[in-house]
This record gives sequence, structure tokens and C-alpha cells, in this order.
Amino acid sequence: MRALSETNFATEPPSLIREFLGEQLPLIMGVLGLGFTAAYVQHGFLPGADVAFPLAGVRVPIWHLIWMGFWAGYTMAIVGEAAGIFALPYTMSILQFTNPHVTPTTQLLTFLNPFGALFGFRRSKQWNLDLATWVCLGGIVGGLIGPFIRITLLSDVKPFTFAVGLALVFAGGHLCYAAIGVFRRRTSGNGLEAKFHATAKSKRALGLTPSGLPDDLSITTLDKSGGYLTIDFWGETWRISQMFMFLTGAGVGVISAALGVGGGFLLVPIFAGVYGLPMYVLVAATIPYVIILSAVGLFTYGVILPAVVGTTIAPEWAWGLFAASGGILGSWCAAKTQRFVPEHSLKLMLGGITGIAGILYVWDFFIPLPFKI
Amino acid sequence: MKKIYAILPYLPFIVLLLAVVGGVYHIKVYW
Repeated sequence: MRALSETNFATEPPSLIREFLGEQLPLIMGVLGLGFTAAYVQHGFLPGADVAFPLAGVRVPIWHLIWMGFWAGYTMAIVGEAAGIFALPYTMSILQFTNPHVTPTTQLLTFLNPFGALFGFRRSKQWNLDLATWVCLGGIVGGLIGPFIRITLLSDVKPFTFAVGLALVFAGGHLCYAAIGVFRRRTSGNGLEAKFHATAKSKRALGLTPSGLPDDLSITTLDKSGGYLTIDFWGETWRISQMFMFLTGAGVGVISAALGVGGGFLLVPIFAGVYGLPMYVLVAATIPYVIILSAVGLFTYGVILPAVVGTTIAPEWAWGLFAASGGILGSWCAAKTQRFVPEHSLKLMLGGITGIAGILYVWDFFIPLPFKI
Repeated sequence: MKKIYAILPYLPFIVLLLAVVGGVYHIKVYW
């Protein structure tokens, strides 16, 4: 057994390094290079710590944008959500980028960010196109409608911040609730979380890599007829209505595209609440959804809005691309390490931070706070 | 390698702490 564990430790890193060098590094360097190119093409110079980003109107070092993308992408992908819901308030309140251009800029981050996780989860076999298709079709509809709400109902800073605050309160509340739920299921001895911890514990006891998921697991489609999809994962089965997936994808898409976030913060609690889908399965739907929704949202902001109403809200391309380069690395790291991280404590912490930020935004809408947020 | 696996469960919290440090640095220098 000892020899087996040593073989495992000895063979795993080179394949990981090969995967990183072959898949991730070219993607990260490509997006970073695009960021520099976009800065010169859009503005004719490189904004950063000394010269303000023209559309954002703020100075921020490029390394800080890459770092923001990394930590937001890493921490949020571990709990199955996109970086946008964390990066947006940070961009608005810490980096002080509050004008309407912040929406498509964050949408650019949420579009590129999950690619790292997409490759990672696909390799981990946390992947099922049948589960992703209907929710993504809904996302296309939402991505076409959301930007019109941004330029009408949410065109001013105050209502927009208020709407972001509500989204953050919801996201934070759900993360805290999910953390308590995960803890209960783990201690009750039922459900996937309990299996996850039992497997990790037994593997650790044998001196093996303490991953909570068996390596040969995959999300399999058992049936997709009669408007319902039946999937299986680790001996548990779920029957999901395709129409429900489409309508949920569309509703979440409208809100998310209006704010400039990925939508995982709403999609995860809805699917977890209605069908009891665990995080290890949900990522197969949420990651492709966030990519599709963000792409359609960006297209609507850049092409459809100017064509229909003559209003263009261009993204700060370089900003979004720099943040995305860090985000791709972060979300890939999350895909590789999610199975080692205890979900509940991280959810509690992220939920607490997100919820408090949301409460402050909502509070500031009604009674202005004595400090700048 | 075992040490890396031992750190992994705490990594998100370390990353979040560094994010706070980065935010405070930005406020002090650029606001």
C-alpha cells in the first residue's frame, strides 16, 4: 500500500504540469497578450498604475487586476460559482470603477474566467452536455434581454448598486445556508457530502491522495425523453424537467446580464433547492452556462444595443482581459483542488463577506453611509 | 508532495487573506 501511495504521489504531478503547460499556460498567456493588445488598440497607450483606464476613469496596477481575477476565480469556482459576483463589488468599491462600463467589463471576465474550470472539470469527468444544453438555451434568451434593463431601469449608479446589493445579499445568504446544510448532511451520514468525507478519510488513512471523489466517477445520462432528463452520479439519480431548466436559465440570465455577473450565484441555489443537486454535479451545468450567458451578454452590449437603441456601453477590454488571465488560472486551480477543500467552512466565509457587502449596498441606497462604498 | 496536500484545504483562506491585503494596499495608495 505504501508503494502504491508513493507511485500515486510520484506520477500525479508530472501529468498535472503537462496539463498546465499544454492547456492552461497558452490560454493564460494568450489572454494576457490580448489585454496588452486591446489597450493599445482601444486607447493607443497602456493604462495602469500611472495612467487611468479611460473608460473606467481609475488608476490601478495591471498586476492588481490579474491578482483580482485569480483570487475571485479561485475562491468562487471552488464553491461552484463564477468570479463576477465577487469581482463586481470589489471592482466598484475598492477599485472605484462604478460607471456603466463596469457591467460589460465584468461580463468579459465572467466569460473568459470559467474556461480554466471547464477544461479542469471535463478532465475530472464532472461534465454532461445534456444537463447543460437546456439551461444554456435559457441563458441565450436572458443574455439578449438583460442589457436592455441595464440601460433603462439600472442606468444610474444608485439603483444599480442597490440591485447589486440585493444580489449579494441573496448570494451571501445562500452560501451561509448551504454551508450549514452541508455540515448537517456530513454529520448525518447521508448524502454525497457524507460519502465525500468518508472516502477522503479512508484514502487519507491508506496514505493515498485524500480526494473525496473516486477517480472513475462521471455524470451519466440515463434518460432524456418526455421533456425530462434523468442523470446519475455516484449511485444517486435525479429527474429534471427540461422546461424548468430553460425557464430558470432565461430568468437568471436576464438578471445576470443586467448586472454583469455570471449567474452561478442564482442558478446554484435554485437547482440545489429544487432538485437537491450537489455541487459536484451542478458545475457541469453552471460552468458552460456562465460562458454562454456572458458571451451573449457581451454581444448584446456591443452589437445589439447600438443597433437597436443607438447606445453603446463598451467594455474596458484591457481591464477585463487582464483580470480574466488571472481568473483562468484561478478557476483551473479550483477545479484541481476542489475535491480537497471542505466546502462548508469556505462557503460560510464567502457567504459572510458577500452578505455584509450586500447589506451595506442596500443600506446605502436608503440611508447614505458615512464612508465611501 | 504530502506537504502540498496538507496545505490544500487551507489554500482558499490564505488566498482570501492576501486579497484583503491587496485591497487595503490599493485603498492606501490610490484613493
